[in-house]
Amino acid sequence: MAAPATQQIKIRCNDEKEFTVDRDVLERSVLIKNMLEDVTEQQDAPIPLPNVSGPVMAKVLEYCTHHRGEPLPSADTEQSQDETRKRTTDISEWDQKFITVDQEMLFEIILAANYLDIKSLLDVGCKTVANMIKGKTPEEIRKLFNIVNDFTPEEEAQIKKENEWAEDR
Amino acid sequence: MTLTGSDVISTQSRAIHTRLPQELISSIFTLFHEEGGPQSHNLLLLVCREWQRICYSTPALWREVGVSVGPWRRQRTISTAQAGMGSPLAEILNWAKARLLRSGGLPCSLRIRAYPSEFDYLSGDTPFFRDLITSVSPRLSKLVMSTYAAEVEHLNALLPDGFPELNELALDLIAMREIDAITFDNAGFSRCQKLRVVEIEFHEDNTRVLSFNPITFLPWDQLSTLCYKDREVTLADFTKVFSLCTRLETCSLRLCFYQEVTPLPDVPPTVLPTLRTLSLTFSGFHIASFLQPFSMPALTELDLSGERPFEDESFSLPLLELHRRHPFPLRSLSLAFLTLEMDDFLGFLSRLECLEEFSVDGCNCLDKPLVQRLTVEPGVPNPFLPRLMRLDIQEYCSDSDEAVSTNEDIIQMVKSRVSHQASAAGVARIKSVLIADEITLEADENLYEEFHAIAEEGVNLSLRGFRFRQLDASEDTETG
Repeated sequence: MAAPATQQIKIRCNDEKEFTVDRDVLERSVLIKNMLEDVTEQQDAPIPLPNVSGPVMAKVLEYCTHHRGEPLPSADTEQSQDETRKRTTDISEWDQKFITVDQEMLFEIILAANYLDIKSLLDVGCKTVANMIKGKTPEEIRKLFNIVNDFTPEEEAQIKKENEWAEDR
Repeated sequence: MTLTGSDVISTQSRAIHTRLPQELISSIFTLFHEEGGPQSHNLLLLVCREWQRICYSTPALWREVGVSVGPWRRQRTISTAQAGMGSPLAEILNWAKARLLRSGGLPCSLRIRAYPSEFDYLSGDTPFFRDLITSVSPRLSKLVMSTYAAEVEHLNALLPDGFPELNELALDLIAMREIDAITFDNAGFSRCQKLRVVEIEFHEDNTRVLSFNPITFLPWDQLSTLCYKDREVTLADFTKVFSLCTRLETCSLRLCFYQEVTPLPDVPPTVLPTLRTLSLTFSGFHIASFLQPFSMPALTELDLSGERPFEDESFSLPLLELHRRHPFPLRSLSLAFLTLEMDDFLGFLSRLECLEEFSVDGCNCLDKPLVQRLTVEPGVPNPFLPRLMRLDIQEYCSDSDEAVSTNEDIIQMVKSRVSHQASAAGVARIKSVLIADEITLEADENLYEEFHAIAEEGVNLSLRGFRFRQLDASEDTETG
């Protein structure tokens, strides 16, 4: 007996770009998963995703396809991790290669992961930015992210003074 | 060039904090901070006003505070004269409180290392840390204190209900000469229902007058991890304490029972069903019998070490008897500075069918005879250690400055050691050999290539304790 065909779902991005994707891949997104569960009858109309562009969605789908079948984090495990265990900024090799994109695309992926509610992708994006900050001086961070130093020298000195009691570990 | 206000707005519009919502920036800051430590605040706070604002409104960044007061402080030193109210010490306390206030209601962690002068402490001029601790006691999940034991006693007295959220406690305590016996009668820690991980060290101090009841000090029956170092606890007390630790998974003890002359306490047979790792460093009498009442059916890692070589009673027979009565599936065994009697010890080893790692260091000159007894023909399964994957045998050398002067000598020595130990344990199973005599090497850098060649033959060489002196260099270099 042939295996049952995987259901295909259409989505439409904000630039009218459309994708037809296996349901289990799309369900990496909690947002879309919930939308699909709310629909009782099969619909041919694509699901509109007004906050995501075609090129960004293509990257997101690349991630979801690679990680299809992996268990989704439950709300309970997320909460217990936040409270009791420190996260690390380690990123797997495939994810690291996947997220090696320009800064603009990185921010777009983070925003899309946040909107689509794909926790693991959001983690990869945030960890990547956190890793970019590591080992840099405030001036280097400003340069990296196009930030202007709007502190006066006196304010800078005050901030340093307020935190000089911090213990080195 | 000076930026005008509109320039700032224009440039900032492309900045990260204008591209991502605040909750995501907060999440990034939290990830960065969790690996960066307390000083990461300084970095984030100094980037720009918007980052500073997001930092201050991210509670997760402020749930850990570490303060250190003493002559070793890197940034500032608090002198005795500075320790009163309105002093830098009071400033530190205010700083720490303000910092913790930003963490809202999140579980928080405090690390305190403080030894202000005993004179100030006793005169009451020092606004000490108990107020800071009690201010966060309902949500304190981790407390690390290196200070006077009296501070902990006072803390206990202030906390009749303990810390409801405390999960991890580390105390590194010394007694003050001017204070008489401290009893810890009101043991608040024993009522901490979520306490699971404890590390305690009472510093050795000849003038110590600390005396307390260890049995009521902690909720021993709920701990999963214990590291306990105390040279003055009695064998009777600690045996009782250990019999209460029925949920332990990992345990490290450093004990001294020299003062014991009385018979062993009468402790009924006790099962420690979840204990997997036990490390015991000790000196004194009766220590070999300390473990006898305990059954540890899950024990896979055992590390036993005397403090000095050859001074303690023989450990072979107690180990053998312990395993006979209550077998445990040991995978890793490490022994150091123990008196071992060969026949009983081989009897014990022959019972360890699952042993994968075995380390012996300075055990009663047993090393060479042990290697000889373990030697089998290549390819023949070792009857004692059939699953052994790693063997470390370190000889205790009284002449620790054995000098080897040429590369050839060194390589010969290392090769013979590798081959000797590999055949000793029955061969190709050996993946790793530790060579750790105290030897001064005089050689050029080509030596490393020779070592590399040996390693490529399939043996993972680990060198420790070598002093490497380059032929053309004047100073010694410690090898890693």
